[in-house]
Amino acid sequence: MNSKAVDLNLLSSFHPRESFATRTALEQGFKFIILAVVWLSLIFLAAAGAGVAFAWKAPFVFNELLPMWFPAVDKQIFADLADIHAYLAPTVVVATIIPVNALFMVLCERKFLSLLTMRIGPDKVGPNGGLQTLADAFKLLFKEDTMPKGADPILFTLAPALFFAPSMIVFLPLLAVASNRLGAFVYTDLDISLIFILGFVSLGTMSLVMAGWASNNKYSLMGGLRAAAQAVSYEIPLVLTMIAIIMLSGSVNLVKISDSQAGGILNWNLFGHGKLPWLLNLTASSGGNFFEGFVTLVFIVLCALLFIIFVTAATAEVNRIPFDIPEAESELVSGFNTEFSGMKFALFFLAEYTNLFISSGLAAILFLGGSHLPISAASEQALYNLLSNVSFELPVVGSFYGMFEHLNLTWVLASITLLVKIYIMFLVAIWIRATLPRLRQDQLMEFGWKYLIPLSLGIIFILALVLEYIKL
Amino acid sequence: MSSVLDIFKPITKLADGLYNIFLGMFTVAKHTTRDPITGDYPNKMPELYARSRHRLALNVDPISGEHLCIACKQCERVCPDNCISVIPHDNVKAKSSQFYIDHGLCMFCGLCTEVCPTDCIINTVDFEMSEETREDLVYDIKKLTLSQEQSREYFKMKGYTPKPPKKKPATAAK
Repeated sequence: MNSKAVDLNLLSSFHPRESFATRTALEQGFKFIILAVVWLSLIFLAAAGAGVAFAWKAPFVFNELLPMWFPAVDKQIFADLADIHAYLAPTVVVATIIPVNALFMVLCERKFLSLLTMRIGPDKVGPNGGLQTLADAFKLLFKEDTMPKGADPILFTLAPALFFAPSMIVFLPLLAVASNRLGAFVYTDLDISLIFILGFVSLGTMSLVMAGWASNNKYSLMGGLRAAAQAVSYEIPLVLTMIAIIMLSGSVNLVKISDSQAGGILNWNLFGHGKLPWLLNLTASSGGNFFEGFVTLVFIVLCALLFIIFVTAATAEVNRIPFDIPEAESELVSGFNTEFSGMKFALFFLAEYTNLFISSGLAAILFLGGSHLPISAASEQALYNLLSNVSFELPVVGSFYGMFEHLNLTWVLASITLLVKIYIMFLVAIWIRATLPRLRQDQLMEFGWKYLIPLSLGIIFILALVLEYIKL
Repeated sequence: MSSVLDIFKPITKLADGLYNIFLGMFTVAKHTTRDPITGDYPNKMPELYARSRHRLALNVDPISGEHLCIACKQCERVCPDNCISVIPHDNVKAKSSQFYIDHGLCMFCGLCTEVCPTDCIINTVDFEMSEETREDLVYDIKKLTLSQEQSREYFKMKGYTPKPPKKKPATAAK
């Protein structure tokens, strides 16, 4: 007799299996927080490890240690090596961060989205699904690399790489903010960081069109064209909000923009660049100038609007829901990456999430105080003083020619702060995704050209007038 | 009819849109406090209703343990998919020697269970019937027949005992 028929328990419906406790929202949220803490420490350790190994003590090694070990060699050679290394080191660090970071971003998105939509999310691979994306990455590595009939082989192969390359380059200026200009990261502190980022971000769109056209698939082509149209429309409000921030901070350098917001949460650009207390002028009892208070109110509303416009435009720029019409699943199969498989698809995926990370990073730096803690300048300086002169000895090598003496560890605080802020912005992006449905193509264009661009232009105009009065 | 106030229309529209978006985002944020509604299926079975219609089975008499099928072929006649075939016993009257149900064809309408005069054929709540081949989905009488205890539980759940089929002395035909 069939064992299934024998085991069938009609009254209690089913034979018992491995019983799982009923999941509660609290438990799910708690598990998610643990997962996030573990993965974020992993990301930080990978980034910091790469940074320490490749970039931190590079000037010391090349200028003092190596000449001392090899006195016979010409010192000029070490100086040249130091130059080459200084340019390579940040790139190596970026290449370390991006894959580790993307692994967690995908997982974080899936888990947080499941929290918001009352689901469980991936929980089979590893503890609480913590290794799910790692398994996915391995799977993609072993997938067959297919190419559709009639596709352009050169452009088809080039497109994912060209999409990935700008996101890697754009990552560099963020490192200067995250590391407090540590060691070789001084070279990533560009005076034109914002313009540099904007210039390279636009390159990505070109490769999307390239991918769409090379696939020899009409849906892919439409996805590519839509990506181009969207990038053209939404880069303008993005740049206009950045111009407003440049007006506030007086610099295009990310480090300077971040430093201009130091000294507490009220100094963040999101909350009016330290002008919030001026609102007290509005009340009669303070005896202040009412007009001054009114101008401050306008200024603070403008700052909040700028943030909203920036988030909207950045979401459109990285092709995320609700602006993901280049890969709209319900209209185009998967848009520009329909025909890509295996590692080529993985590269698109990686670059998309890296772009999202960079957008979140820009939002964190431009509006949320960058690498500065939301505490007063004096307490932050006290923390920095505590960390700026640390000496320790390793058990085996001791102090190793004074390498571990008088260390400046302020970068630890700065990078952790920035990482947490970036991930908060990323969670906001997921929250938006969980809330809003996808726009239609014409709605997208109308919203961009008829609302966002005039609004951001008007904001710049009013902001200029307000700033003339407020004088930051 | 255009008025001077129309120039504020985009602004009010924008403010309205922003307000509604924040309302929606607040609603979604509240969902984080609600328990997951999806199941954990392979590990934890869903709680199905007792009368949900799934795999077909044949009852035996819970008291005597005899097969309830009387080979009346009502189920075979009423089946819209023609997936049931009853083969009566050659020698014994009101007894089927073989009973085939092709679960690959069955659409679980439950008509056969309604016409059955002895409550022999029933819908169980077991829905996991995947097999390696299509031929394995054709269940024979051995696979279909429940044990005495399972039949007893079924009738206990339904709250009645079946009418025992009228027993006529088995006569050897021919």
